[in-house]
Amino acid sequence: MNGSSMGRRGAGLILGAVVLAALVLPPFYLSGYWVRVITGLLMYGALASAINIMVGLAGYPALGNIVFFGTGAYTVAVLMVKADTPFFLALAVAGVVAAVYAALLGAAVLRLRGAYFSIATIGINHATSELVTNLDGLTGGGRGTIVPFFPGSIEAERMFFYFLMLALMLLATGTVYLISRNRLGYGLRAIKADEQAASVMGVNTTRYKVLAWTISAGLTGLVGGAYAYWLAFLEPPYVFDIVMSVKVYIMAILGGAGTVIGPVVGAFFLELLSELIWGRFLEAHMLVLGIVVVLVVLFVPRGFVDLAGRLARALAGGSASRRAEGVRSDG
Amino acid sequence: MYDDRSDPQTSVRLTTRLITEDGVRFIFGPYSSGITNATSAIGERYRVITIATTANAPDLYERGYRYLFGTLPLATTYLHPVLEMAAALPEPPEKVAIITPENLFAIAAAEGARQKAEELGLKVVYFARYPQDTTDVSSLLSAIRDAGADMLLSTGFLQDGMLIVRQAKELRYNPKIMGFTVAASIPDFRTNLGRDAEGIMGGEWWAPSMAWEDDFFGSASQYAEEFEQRFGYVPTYHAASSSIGGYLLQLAIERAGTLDTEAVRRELLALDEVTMFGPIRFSDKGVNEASSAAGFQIQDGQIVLLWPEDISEGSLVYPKPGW
Repeated sequence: MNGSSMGRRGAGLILGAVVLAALVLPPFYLSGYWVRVITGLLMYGALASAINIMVGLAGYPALGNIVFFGTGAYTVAVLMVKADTPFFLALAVAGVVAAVYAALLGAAVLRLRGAYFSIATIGINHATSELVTNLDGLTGGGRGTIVPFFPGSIEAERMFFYFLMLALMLLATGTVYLISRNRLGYGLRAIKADEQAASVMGVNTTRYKVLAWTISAGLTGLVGGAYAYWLAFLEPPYVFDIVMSVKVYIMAILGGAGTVIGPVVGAFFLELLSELIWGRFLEAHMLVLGIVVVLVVLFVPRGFVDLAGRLARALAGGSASRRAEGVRSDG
Repeated sequence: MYDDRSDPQTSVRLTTRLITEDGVRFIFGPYSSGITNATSAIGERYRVITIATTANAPDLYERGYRYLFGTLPLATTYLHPVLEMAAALPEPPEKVAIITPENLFAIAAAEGARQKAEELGLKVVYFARYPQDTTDVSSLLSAIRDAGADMLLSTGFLQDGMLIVRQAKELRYNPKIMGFTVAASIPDFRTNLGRDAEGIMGGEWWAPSMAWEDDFFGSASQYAEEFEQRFGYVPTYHAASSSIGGYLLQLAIERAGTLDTEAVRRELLALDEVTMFGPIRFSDKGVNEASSAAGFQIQDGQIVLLWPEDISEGSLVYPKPGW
């Protein structure tokens, strides 16, 4: 038993080293285009992890979560353009603004459940987008706003945004990991299973939900802020984009909502597939995205991570299956 | 050549791909000023020339970029011919209303129109922006009617233009002049609206009936014929502007005798050509400052060029026929 656990620890270390290398090395070896593609994957990984806190852990379908991405993006843009704020300070403020926004909204909107909550978040996204468009003295409105360039060389810029998005993705998945293992995570799971029962059992459901949404929004806002600096030009439809929001939602479900690594897997899978295959066909990419959604709901409703687990158990059989069950139930 | 799905994120990624994977040194920019804003920033960093053939919002050219060239005149001048025609009438309209969707290009055209109207002594009584992709402008139109505007200008796209005409008809709002930018020159506008499109005016960067010509394409009408034979539809300014962008780049490369970006850039700045798209000369900012828009009116389902007077193919119907 001891030997087997040491063996597993060794395998885990090797796996960790491989993953770390795979994450850190690309910008040193790949062309500008591929670095940009992977930076995009990391960004979606971060967004999918952030929405996972609401969708996967609390079971609240925050379909309009992109509102915090837009809020973060515009916070950075306005601070950098209007107040010459250094980027990292602006980014920190973006995270705080998005989080506070969610906390204020949450008290009201989180009384709604299921589809009603989902629709409310979409409405909030739309309303916020209109607000940003109409505050044109501050945000540039429909004409958009130009964010200052990253000051360094092209290579430095490439590295900067790659590692920035990587850091944000690790922060987001790390947050999910921590939450899923502490009191907040247990409370959220209880809410997901049966909110009324959770409330009766003494879980302060409102506080837990608002806290979860605040964290999810803060992370999403940070990613939005980084995106603003990366793209260097914003228009409200670019960052309050409901299609992007739905895509992130699908990524989380596809990879495995509620798991730590699932949403990242889903994000990488969907974005890479889009880049390599259907993105090259006019119009058809939306069709294929729709088909993927239907197939996922029908055949992998619990996502890739769950599917992989089931496949592994089916292959190993017997005692391995029981052990996997054990691992799953305490994780 | 890649398809950017009119998505800025994709467009930026593909621009990077063209430069860093495919080793491209000259790029024909994407559609729309907003997206070009994002992609030309990449081109600028890598010192790759972007020829923007369908992006002409002034903001694009006010950033001090060295490697961005636009073949179209600035969007701000889009409705100038309509306003000039109106001001030249013996009994010009008295009150002008201007509406625009929240879009970089459209706002530029609307603000350019407001400025020009004031210069010409036409009173702008109503100016408003509305959300993009709106499906109802009836409240806007009621407000415009209440303001007593007898000239309505809109800088929206095809859907907006059709919506405005349909709802103005429902409301029985009959301005003496209705003028549009891109919407009215797209053939679908006339075919979908039928006789409701009669008398509507517009600005036009280019039309096959214009008298321009060059050695390469021949006349504008010859270009249009060849284009239709090849692609099966009559070209609009988007196509002609893009063809001319290619032609100008070729000229500049031939004259430079090298693919060196700086040398080609110098030749582009030195160009002073008359083409089937009209005269072309780039300012230091990369704007084509030699050309301007023409004015037209839809008469019997056709676009009839009326302004400037020396290219006029008919006479203006004023006021516009009622619904």
